[in-house]
Amino acid sequence: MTEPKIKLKATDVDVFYDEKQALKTVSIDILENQVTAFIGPSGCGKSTFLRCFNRMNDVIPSARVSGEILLDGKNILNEDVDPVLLRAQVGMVFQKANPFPKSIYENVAYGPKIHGLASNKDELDAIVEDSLKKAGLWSEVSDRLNDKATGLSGGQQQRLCIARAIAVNPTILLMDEPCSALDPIATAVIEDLIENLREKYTIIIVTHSMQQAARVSQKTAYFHLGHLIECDDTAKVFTNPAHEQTEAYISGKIG
Amino acid sequence: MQTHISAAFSEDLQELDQMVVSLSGLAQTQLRSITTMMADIDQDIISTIIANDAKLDEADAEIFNKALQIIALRSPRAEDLRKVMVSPTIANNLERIGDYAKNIGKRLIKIKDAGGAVLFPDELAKLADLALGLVIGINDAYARSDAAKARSVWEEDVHLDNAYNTYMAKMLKVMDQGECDAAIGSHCLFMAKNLERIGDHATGIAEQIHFRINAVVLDDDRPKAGDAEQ
Repeated sequence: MTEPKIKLKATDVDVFYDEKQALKTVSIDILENQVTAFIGPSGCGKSTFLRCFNRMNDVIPSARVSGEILLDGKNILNEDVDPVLLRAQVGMVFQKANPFPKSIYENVAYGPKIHGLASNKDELDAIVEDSLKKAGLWSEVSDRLNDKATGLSGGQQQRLCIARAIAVNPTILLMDEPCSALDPIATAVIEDLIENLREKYTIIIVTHSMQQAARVSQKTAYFHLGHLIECDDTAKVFTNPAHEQTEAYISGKIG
Repeated sequence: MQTHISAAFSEDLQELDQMVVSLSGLAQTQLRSITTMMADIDQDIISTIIANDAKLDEADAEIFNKALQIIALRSPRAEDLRKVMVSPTIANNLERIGDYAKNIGKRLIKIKDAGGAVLFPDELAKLADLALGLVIGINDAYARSDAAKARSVWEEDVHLDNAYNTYMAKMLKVMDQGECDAAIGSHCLFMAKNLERIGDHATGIAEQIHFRINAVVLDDDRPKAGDAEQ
C-alpha cells in the first residue's frame, strides 16, 4: 500500500494571543484523504491549531501566527494568500450547527453563488443536490428544500453545515467538535458520514471525545499545554501510545 | 441482522468473525489429517501438519490484535462487546487444538521411526473422529450463532471421555502384561490424552459461543465420564 500524500505540512507553528503563547513550535504532516483527530485537555491549543489551517485566527486581533503551513506545497500563512479563497478550499464545521436563517436550499447555494461556481440555476441546483447527497441529507430534505433550515433537527442542521462547506468545492474539511451538541444516534450518523467523506476530502477533527477520535480517525495527535506531544496511527495511540502524557490522558489519569 | 450506523464498525466485526471461522477451519483440517494416520502413518502428510501449525499461531495472534483494536477504537457494547471478548479465547482454544494435532503427528513419526505401529489403532481413530466431530460442531455453532448447537457439543464431550477411558483401560492392560514397547505405549497414551484434551477445548469454545449469544455462562452440570481422570 502506498503511503498517502501529505496534504498539509505545518512546520514550527507558533501562535500567540498577545503575550501568551498558545501553540509552541508545532510541526505535523496531515495526510490526504485521512481523518486526523486532535485531542487534548481544554486549553491545549488544538482548536487554536485547527484555526490556523484556514486562517481563522486572522479575525482575532490579538492573535499572531508564525511558522509555515504548506497546503499542496504553498504556504497559506503568506500575506499574498486571500483568506476568503483559502476558506473555500478549507471548509469548516463548528461545534454548534449555525445555519443561516434562510431556506435549506439557500444555505447550500449561498457559497457557490458568491464564489461564482454556477453560471445558471440548473448548475446551482445540481451543486445543491450533490452537496446534500455527499452530506447524507438529500433523502431527508429533497422534498422540502424551501423550508427554513432552522426547522431541521440538530443532527440535520450539522449535516446541512457540512453540505454548505462542501458546496464550494473544498479539499479539506476542518471540524471543531462537530458532534458535541448532538445525541448519540445523530453523532453516529455524522461519524459514518466523516468516514465516507474522507474518500474525497482531507479531514481534521477536534474532539473532546476520545472514543470519537478512536472511531473516526486514522491519525491522532495529542496536544498538551500548546505542545504537540505525539501524532501517530490512531490504533497505535489508543493501544500503545509512545508518550506517558498521552497514555495518562487517554486512560483518564492525571498527575 | 441489524447493522450499525457505522458501516466500518460492522465491517470490523464481520472481519473478526471471518478470522475466527477461518482459524476454526484450519484447526479442523489439521485434526482431520491426523484421524487418517492411526493405521497408516504418512510422514509427508504429518510434515505438512507440523508446518501448517504456524498458520494457526499466526491467526490466533491476529485475532487477539483485531479484538484489541476493536475494543480500543470502537468501544463495543452489549452483544458486540461479548463477541469481541470471546473471540481471542475461542482463537486460543483453536490454536491449542492445533498444537495437540501437531503433537500427535510428532508422536506418530516417532512410532514409525521406531519401526512400531499404533496400539489399538481403530480405537484411537475413533477417539480422533469423536474429537473432530466436536470441533466441526463448534465451528457450525459459531458460524450460525447457534447456542443450542453449542450446548449439544458441550454435552457430547462425554462420549469422547468414555472412549478415552476405554482406550486407557486397554492400554494399561497390555502395558501391565508387558505386551508392548514402553516408548510406543507411552506415545499412544499421550496421543489419547491429547485427543481427550481437544474435546475439553471444544467444550470451552462451546461455552464461549453460548455466552456470546445468550450472555449466560453455561452451568457446571456438564455430563462427564465418572473416571475420566486417569
